Amino acid sequence: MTSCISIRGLVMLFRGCDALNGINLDVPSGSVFALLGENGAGKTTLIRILTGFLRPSAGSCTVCGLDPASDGLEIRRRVGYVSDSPALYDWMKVGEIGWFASSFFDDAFLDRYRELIARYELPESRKIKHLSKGQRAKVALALAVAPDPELLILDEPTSGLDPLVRREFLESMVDRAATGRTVLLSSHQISEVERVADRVAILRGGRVRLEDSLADLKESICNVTVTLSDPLAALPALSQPAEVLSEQNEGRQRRWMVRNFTPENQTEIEARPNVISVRARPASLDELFVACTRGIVPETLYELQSLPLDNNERAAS
Amino acid sequence: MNRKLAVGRLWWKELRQLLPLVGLLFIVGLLLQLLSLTAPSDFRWQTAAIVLGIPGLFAAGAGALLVGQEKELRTFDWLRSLPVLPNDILRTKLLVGLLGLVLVWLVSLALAATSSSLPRRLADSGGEWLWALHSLFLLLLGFATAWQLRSSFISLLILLPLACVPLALANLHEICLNALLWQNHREPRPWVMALYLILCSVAALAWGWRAALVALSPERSTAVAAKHSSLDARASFTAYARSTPAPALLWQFSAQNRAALTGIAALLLTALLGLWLLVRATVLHGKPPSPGLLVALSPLAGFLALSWLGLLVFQGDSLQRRKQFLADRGVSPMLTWVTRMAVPLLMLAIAILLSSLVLPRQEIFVLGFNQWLIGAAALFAIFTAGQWIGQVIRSPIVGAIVSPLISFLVVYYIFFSIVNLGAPWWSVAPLVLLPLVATFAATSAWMDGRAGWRFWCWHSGLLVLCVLLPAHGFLSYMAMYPRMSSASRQQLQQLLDRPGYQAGIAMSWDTTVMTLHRRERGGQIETLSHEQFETVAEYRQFSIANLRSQMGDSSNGLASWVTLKVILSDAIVQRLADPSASDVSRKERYRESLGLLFELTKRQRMSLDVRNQDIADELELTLLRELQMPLAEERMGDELNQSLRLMLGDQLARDRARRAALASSWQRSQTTRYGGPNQREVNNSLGSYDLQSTILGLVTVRDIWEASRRAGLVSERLLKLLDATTEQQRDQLRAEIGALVGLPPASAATRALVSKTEQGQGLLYEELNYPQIPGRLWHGEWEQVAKSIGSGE
Repeated sequence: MTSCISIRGLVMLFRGCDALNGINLDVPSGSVFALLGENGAGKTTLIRILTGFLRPSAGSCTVCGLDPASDGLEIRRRVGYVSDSPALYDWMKVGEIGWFASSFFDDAFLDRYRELIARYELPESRKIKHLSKGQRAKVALALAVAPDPELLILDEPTSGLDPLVRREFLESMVDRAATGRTVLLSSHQISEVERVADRVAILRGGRVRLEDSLADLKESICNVTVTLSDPLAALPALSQPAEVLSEQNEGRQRRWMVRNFTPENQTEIEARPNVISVRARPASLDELFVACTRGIVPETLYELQSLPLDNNERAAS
Repeated sequence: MNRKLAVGRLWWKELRQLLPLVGLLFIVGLLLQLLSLTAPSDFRWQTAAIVLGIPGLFAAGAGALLVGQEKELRTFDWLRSLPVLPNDILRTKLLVGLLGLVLVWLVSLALAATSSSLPRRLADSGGEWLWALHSLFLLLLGFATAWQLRSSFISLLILLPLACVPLALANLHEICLNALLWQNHREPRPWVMALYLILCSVAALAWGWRAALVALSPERSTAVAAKHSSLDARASFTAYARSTPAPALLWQFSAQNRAALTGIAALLLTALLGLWLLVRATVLHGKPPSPGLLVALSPLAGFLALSWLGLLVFQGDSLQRRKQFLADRGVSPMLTWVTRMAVPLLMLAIAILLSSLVLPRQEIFVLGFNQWLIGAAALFAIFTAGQWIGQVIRSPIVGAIVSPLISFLVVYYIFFSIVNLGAPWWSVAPLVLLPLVATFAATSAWMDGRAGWRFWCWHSGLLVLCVLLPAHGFLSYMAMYPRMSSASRQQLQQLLDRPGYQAGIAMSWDTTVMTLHRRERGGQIETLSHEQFETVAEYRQFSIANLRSQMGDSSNGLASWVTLKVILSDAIVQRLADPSASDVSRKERYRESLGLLFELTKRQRMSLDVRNQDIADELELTLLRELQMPLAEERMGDELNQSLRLMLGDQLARDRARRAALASSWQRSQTTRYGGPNQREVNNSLGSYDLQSTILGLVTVRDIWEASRRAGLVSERLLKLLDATTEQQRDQLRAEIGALVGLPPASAATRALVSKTEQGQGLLYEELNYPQIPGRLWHGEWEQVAKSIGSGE
């Protein structure tokens, strides 16, 4: 499958803040790709690099086969972009801004724009400054979608939209992907992402913590809850191919987000002393997101595993 | 994409964005032009010249509006996300700015051309094209600073010092060149100034273009990797001890406007420095120096600084919805208002204090407390007007451009009210304080963004109050002051509209004594004085002959009241010296003088001036007396006798001439505002009559209105005098006219012109009464006598 967006070793440094620390990512064409991450993870920075507003400190990226830094004009023709808080000309009317933008695209733009405006039930003669936040978001969406771009980049697109429009919009994203167009979606609405995304990437601290197709992620990642009799009891590392993505400790319970957790792993843990029970269930995307952004990172987990055993554990071993 | 279409749409957008600025400047230009109409004619050009400053303001603000505001509102980000070439954006903005500048210039010139002397003065000075070039430089510089700097307000602030660069370079050029040639420094020549303006314009264009391309290309960061994790929380402000809201709000205001406050403080210091230099030079040399660069610019710097300081009070929070942040947190509007005002007011107080200290307590600068108070009030008014604008106008750029003009209008109106309308100082104080009341009461609505009809009604209402309060005394005075009835007005207008009437220029009663001169051999003209004549008789004879020869060359009336007396006295002397009318030469002299008087009377009667008609009345009365003297027929001769009888008996012609003169005099009194030798006195006259003492010096609006009304009232009574049927009515009307003219009623009485004292030759009689009350002799008893003599009774 060809990649619409290809990112290699992307680094973006700001004063006092390393926004991106070596991103490697491929967004396949004809997919809905969701970019998740907590606030400050680097999503918007990444998007601004892809849209040509920012030049990276290191690394490279291509969008639709073009370099954003040097081929910005061509990229803007092919890419529709909606930022998280689009700043449109307040003094223009809804119809006027579409008419204004139509001059930069093909002839069909205006018709498609008007159709979208009608679908979103926006009054053409009203000035943008008199619109609500949600209505402005609709206008921005309509402006981005009207040119029928190859790639649609959306930063929090459904923020402020009512549930009906939100549902309709998300469904249209799926339809777009089905026709071979690509959608890159940055959002905090996990439930919506779950409904429409083909692939998901979770950013944390300027790095990609997790990236895979949504189906595979759901299938391969489990939420494992281990109940212990002794909260300080150590547990062994899981054997391959299991991979602990995150760990959270709550009293006697230890929660792991584990990829490729097998029944053998479960049996192995249950055999350990101090282990009362082991329960594994498929993780939701929401839990996965929280685990990736709030749980102890795997590196720290390995540090824990190197701690000396207590007397009981020493005696048992 | 159709590129031409895209560029066309960009043009539409840029022009549309520029519209509020152009519109507001146009309105302010009109207001300034209206104000200039209240100034004396020879000062109008100075007020009108301010209109020509409007293109400069546009040039300064265009870049900030088209570029800076877009950057601040982030609409630029959306525009850049469209497939439009950066060069197209850049070119369109620049060309629209240039087009706007040309249009504003054309409108300003058209407005200023209504002041007739301005074009001539500009043409004489040769400065108009240099100012046009300077405005072009300002435009390019404004664009450059707007592209370069993040804040549009800061880019405006920095314009003023940068705008002086061409002037400084031109001066430097002259200094260096003159030093080389061992010459004294002179002002930069026009071509040198033009050269540096062009060079600086090119430099500004290049700078702006480069800055624009950088701004339009992807952002770069030159930062190195942070040593700590980016997930570490920043040092929290919550480390501070909990503070009360007011200090926090003060800190917030100061921190967010740090750059602007620093810039304004720099401007204030520049103004103070210029003031100090001016004062120092004046003290040293005893007179103000010719304005150098700093001294000339310091009032402007100070004015702009105070106006923008006021603007900053509310505009600082209008950006990016900062005020909504305060509103959402339930910050009290009163506290918000106080904390926005505190720092700027403190700066203003310091500026006023320092400027007072700069002025030394020397004789030439001793300021009374009243003058100091008025000066401080004017400075305060600039600030309060600015803060009012800051709350009312949303766009910071439009506010920054318009605020100095509005502040100027406010200060002008304060002085206009005091000086011209005679407003007491206490009625002007609200003009200074009401803007504070306006913003205080509307702070809540401003914070919530509730700029609905209540908000606008409140501000509009207070604006009307500010205008009316100082003017209320004048307005009520004029409303109560009696005016001419519309019936009389209509009657006089009908006289003016009569077919065949020519309003022409009335023969003027020249107050200068007609010079007596004789032509020496060789063509030299020598002016003679009274003492050069050996006898009074010789003087009289010479002056009569002189007058006759001058009258032959012109159709003017009498040139001198003294000459009239001389002619009359000569006639009477001849009569007295020849009681039996037997001396031929004396009779001839008598006839000559009287004949001259007859001629003069006829000429006076043709005048369209009320006073000249009254002089004709005085002369006819004198001639009537002569006709009634013994042996008058023999002494005068048949021809002169007949002519006099005909003239004196023609009451209709006399009245017709009076009505025409009255209508014409009334019209001139209503249309001519200024009079006097320098056109600085109010035209307080009706047909050359000074109705009341003329006000010398500054002409006020009240004086003009009053003079016009009074002339109308006198004209109405004169008209009624001509139509009155009873002597009682006439006496009443004469008394009223006397009161309006400001003379005691007794002066209105009709009495004989000439003293009855008669002695031998050489006697100079009691002088002819210089007519002081209009229409004093109209329809008097003498006219009945004249009519009967005329009919041969």
